[in-house]
Amino acid sequence: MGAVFIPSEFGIIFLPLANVQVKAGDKLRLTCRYTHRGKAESQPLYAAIGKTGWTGFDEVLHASKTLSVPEDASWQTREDYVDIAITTSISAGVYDLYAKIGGTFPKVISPTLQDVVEVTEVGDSDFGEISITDYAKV
Amino acid sequence: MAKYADIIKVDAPSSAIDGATVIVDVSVKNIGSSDQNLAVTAVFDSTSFPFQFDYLLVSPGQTVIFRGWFTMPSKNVGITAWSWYWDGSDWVQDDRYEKQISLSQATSEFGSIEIIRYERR
Repeated sequence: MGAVFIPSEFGIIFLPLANVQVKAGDKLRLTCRYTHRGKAESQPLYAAIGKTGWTGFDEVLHASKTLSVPEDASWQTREDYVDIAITTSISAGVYDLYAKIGGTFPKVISPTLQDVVEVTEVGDSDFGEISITDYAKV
Repeated sequence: MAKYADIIKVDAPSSAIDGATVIVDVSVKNIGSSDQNLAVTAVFDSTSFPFQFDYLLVSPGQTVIFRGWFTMPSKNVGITAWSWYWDGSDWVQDDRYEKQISLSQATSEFGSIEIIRYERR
């Protein structure tokens, strides 16, 4: 079970987060809330699955899409999502998530959600049972 | 209703960024039956701004464009344009037109981002 620590007027809130289980072939949809003001522009919304380590965030899978925001005369809160395709290049385990807006030099980066994605192995091919459901002269 | 100097349209952007030069084209038609000296004056909020021509001699039915300009301040402004004709001894105010120009943003910034949901699809 992952968690995020959120500063508030009452101190730091410990917010437990539910895990999501995925396997190769699935998509993981991350919905992000962001704020914007100023002129209209387009920027990539980028999200990644990986592991937080002492060197930073080690990305394993990622995806991005182009956000087109309109001109906002004052701070506006908006939401959008990005789908990360789960492939066989990620091994089973528990992973972290983060998202950002911008390219090489991000404009904003989200807090990392730790241990919230559990990647499970797709099992070997198994047949469970067999039964005759019909029989007829042909 | 104008007597001679009918303002038929005012071309100006609906928005501009702070510090931009705003071009205002005032189209004035001589709706009289004789040649007229016509002029245009205008203000943004309460500040007057210049025009390319002080006045023009305009034939009956002819439309001329008076081009004015000003520097956009850091707020929304309303512009008011007046047309004038020369009656032989004085300039007489004839028609009036108003338009709003809103301040647009020159920069863009993102304040924060957070992941609010994650789900398998």
